[in-house]
Amino acid sequence: MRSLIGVALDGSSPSLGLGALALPIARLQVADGETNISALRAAVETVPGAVDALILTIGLDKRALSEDPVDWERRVWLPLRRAFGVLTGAGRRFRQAGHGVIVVVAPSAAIGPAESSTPELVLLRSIVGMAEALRAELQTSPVRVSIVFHDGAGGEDLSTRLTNVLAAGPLYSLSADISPDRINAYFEPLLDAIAQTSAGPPLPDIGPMAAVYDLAAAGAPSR
Amino acid sequence: MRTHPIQSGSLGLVTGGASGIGLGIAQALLEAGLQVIVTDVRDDHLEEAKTLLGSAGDQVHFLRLDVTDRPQWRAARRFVEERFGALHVLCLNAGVGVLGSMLEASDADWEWITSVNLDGVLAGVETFLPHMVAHGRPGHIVATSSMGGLIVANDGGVYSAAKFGVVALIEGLRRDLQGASVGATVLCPAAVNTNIYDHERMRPTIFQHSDAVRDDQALEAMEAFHKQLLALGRDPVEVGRMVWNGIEADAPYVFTDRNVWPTLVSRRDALLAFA
Repeated sequence: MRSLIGVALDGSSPSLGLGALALPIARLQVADGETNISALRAAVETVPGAVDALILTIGLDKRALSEDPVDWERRVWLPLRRAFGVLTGAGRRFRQAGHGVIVVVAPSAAIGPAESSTPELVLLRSIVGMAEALRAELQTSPVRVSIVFHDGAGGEDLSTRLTNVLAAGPLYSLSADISPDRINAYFEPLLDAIAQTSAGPPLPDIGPMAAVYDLAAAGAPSR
Repeated sequence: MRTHPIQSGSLGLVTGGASGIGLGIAQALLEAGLQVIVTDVRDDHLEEAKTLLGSAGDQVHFLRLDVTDRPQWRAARRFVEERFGALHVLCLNAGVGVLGSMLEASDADWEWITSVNLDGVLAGVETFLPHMVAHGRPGHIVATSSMGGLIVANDGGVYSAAKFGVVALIEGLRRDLQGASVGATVLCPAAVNTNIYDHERMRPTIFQHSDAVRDDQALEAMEAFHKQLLALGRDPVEVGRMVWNGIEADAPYVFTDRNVWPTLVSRRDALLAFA
């Protein structure tokens, strides 16, 4: 690993301790109001020199659960467009280079039953979907996309996990607060609802579904 | 949990209601005895729906509504308040099923897909939720997401980003509305016999520049494939009845096909493998 680009959606990277990574980091400053996707992509694609990874960080939102009225443009749309521009810019750059790792560092609130504010939940879940889909699109290339969840603490644990992710490129790296019970608590009502649904008409085989979650492809640790 | 059941004679509004799943929902609401406002951005579909639902007489009303247009939403609310007084069931179903590479997607691809599929839902909630809470009678919001809002494929990144957001929005709303008179449900359909395959053909002029969509020949082949596949899918009227059952039960989620179970399990198991 030679060098990486660090992009913060919200000024979060210092508090997450990315500086502790023993790697040269080029911090990419994106103008606050910049939402043009082509411009965001170009900003990533034209960073000079060899770049092996891009880390996009999203900090914890410490605002109250309820906010009235909600500024959806500022809290959801602007960061979502920025995330899309930056992540796809990195995907294009690394695809062309034939290697690279893209890492999304997101609060653990993205996973599990709704505990954060609704705008934060919408933003985080959309970015998770975006990152998983980017990994799926790049699955046949050498480029890897990983999602690293954090609990806001940052520090040594996050630095260690980031180092591992940059080396191995797994689908997920979970913070300690994402327990199996928490994962099951989220998926149980979904799976129960599906189990109560009748089977739809039979469809022809259209190939493997959700291949990105295949444990081997996801780089899951062996038990 | 919503505190009281939806009453017969209540008023429902369905976006994207003149074709596909939206039309199925409208038909199910009419069967349940609700008055229904069918809204759609496509005049041709509205005309077809008028013919199809004509026997419902004064029980059904039609309104052109582009869900990406906030002034049109405000006009829809004025229409409801002036003509009916109160809205009880809001079905935010309008969506575009446009797939393609997210790496190649243009600004216009992103704006169109997210403005209809996510902001179109958000605009409906922002417009009508305060009204529904304020009148205090039992109400319900249904948003149409997709199985693509819970799992991803390799050619639908923009679509999934929007649909993941819709699932999150409704999960957050259910938490926010606990104990209130309004409930919320998210619909995650799998294969349904709809016209979703031809959405690329209705792209508005301002979003015309696309880099995600292939050339005409590839587009035609993809449309033909999806048309043939979806013709085998669930009947939209049946899906509409599933939605109505979900409204009555104040269910958090409505799915349309038990066969999707293994795909969602694969995502859960991937997360568990890293825990």
